[in-house]
Amino acid sequence: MIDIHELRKDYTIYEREKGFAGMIKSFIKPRRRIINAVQGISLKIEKGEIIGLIGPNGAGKSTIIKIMAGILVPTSGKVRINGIVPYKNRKENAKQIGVMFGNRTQLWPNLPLSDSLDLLRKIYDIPIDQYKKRLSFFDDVLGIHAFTNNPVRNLSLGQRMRGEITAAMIHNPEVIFLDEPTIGLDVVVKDDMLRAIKEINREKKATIILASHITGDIENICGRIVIIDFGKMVFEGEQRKLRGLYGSESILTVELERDMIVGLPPNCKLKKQNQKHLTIAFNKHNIAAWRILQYIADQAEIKDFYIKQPHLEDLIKDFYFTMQERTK
Amino acid sequence: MNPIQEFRAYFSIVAVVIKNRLIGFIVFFSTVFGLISLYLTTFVSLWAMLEKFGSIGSWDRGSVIFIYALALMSYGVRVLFSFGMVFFDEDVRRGHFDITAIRPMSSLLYQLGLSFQLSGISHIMAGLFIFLFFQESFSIDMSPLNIVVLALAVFSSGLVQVAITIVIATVSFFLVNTRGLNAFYIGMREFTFYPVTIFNKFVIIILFTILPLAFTTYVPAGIFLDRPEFEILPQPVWMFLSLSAGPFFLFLASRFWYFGVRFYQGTGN
Repeated sequence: MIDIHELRKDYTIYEREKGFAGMIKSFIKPRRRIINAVQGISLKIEKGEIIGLIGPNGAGKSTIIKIMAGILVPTSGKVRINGIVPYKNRKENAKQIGVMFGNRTQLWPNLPLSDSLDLLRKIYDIPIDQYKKRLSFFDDVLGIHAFTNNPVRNLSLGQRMRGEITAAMIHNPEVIFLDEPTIGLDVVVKDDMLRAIKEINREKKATIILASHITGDIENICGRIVIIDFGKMVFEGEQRKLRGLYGSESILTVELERDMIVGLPPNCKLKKQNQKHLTIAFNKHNIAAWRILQYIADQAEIKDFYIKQPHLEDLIKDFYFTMQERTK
Repeated sequence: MNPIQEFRAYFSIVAVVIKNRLIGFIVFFSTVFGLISLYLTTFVSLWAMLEKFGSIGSWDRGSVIFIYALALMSYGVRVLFSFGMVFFDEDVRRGHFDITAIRPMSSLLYQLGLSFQLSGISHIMAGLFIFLFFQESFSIDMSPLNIVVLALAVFSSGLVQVAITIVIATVSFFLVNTRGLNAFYIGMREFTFYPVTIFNKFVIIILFTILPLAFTTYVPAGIFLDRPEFEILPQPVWMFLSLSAGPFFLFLASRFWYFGVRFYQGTGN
């Protein structure tokens, strides 16, 4: 469905030197620098997949999305979306994609949200009955009806972002690009948005590419993840594959009835003890949690315990750490 | 999207742009009133000059007034259809063009839709006012056919200026800002208020080629006023040149635009 092959994108920038003398120097003879924003990325994405592009700011996520959306022309390589080359047949491609940029609005500030959506209906030539159905769907999943008649500039950020999502998907696109869609949102609105995205994927079988540096967003809804760093794809696979590679360490927290020293079985490590609370790291492939608990229970009375699986963010930190260690 | 659908979408964008701006009702009307006053005041200075000298070069007072009225109406067409393009370099710098590029229609038409500026009617109204008020001084046969042809000539001349505006906007894909180019254009536009033959040959060549502003007022005025220097070509040829100049330069400008779009770099998110 989406086929990316050896994709590269270079940007040319002109560097400016510091100070007044530097400014004059840069003015007379600007120093040109090539930035390799995307460096040979190949990827295949199937229909109906939700894939997460993870990476720090400036990693190249937005550039990849913009090339797929037909906004940018790559320096080399190929991209096909349902057989269409986006930068060669931009208009055809635009019909089948929906794009939402978290920090760029497509709504008209002085007009009610309904006017912005109605304009999109005309631009995408959506039949009125289908348009009404779409609006009803978005009302169900995002509750937009409550504020469609309010001027966009008077909406809260959460309402505006709901409006943005609706605007990006009102034409029922087969492929949806979301670039930092939850930026600046509070937890409740963010959860609503992510739930809506999942629902749109389930209901409409849309392929969704979500780029974010907020790993929590991706952890919640994406099956497969792609980690981008300095324009290169450094990991690609299911979340569980990353967990298998870097997420083997679980954390067991045990609360004892009394403050006392206890011994631990082999294959686990005491990370910290704070009076009655023990924090123990263990690899579930080497030792089961219940064995550790049983070992402690033989020595002391356990009041409570819980096991924490590592978050995607922790895995990615481990991943970057391991990468840095390898390059050393 | 076929061309009819694209133009339908364009007019829908224009309607939304107008609606979005008309919220400032008082601001809009004060702008229109201010612009009309500005151009009528400028016209009074021109009038005073003509009172003193009687003519500019071989162009009598009526002819110069006719050119002035044409220049205003032509500029009005430019403002109406493309004024927002003057700030396009800002859109490119801030990455706003991303939204234009994801729409399933011509990026140029979409951007022109966003650039529609209703206050252009103030220039047209000022020009029309001068044209009607001084109509007797430039002895043009006001037959229905002539009125239609004159209106088309004004529209075409306005499109020449729209084309120049698009070319300058397209430079934004290559340069960080185009303020200098816009200032140059505004400076050169002053030449449209007078018959180009009063300037030196170098300026005349520029006004017929690089910055084809001669087609905005000089050529239509020459045709309608039956100027002797236009006898080198039959009148229908001049008419054809005048009416086709706008679409022709607009076509060239659109080619340059689609070439430039490939160099859009966007901004990081």
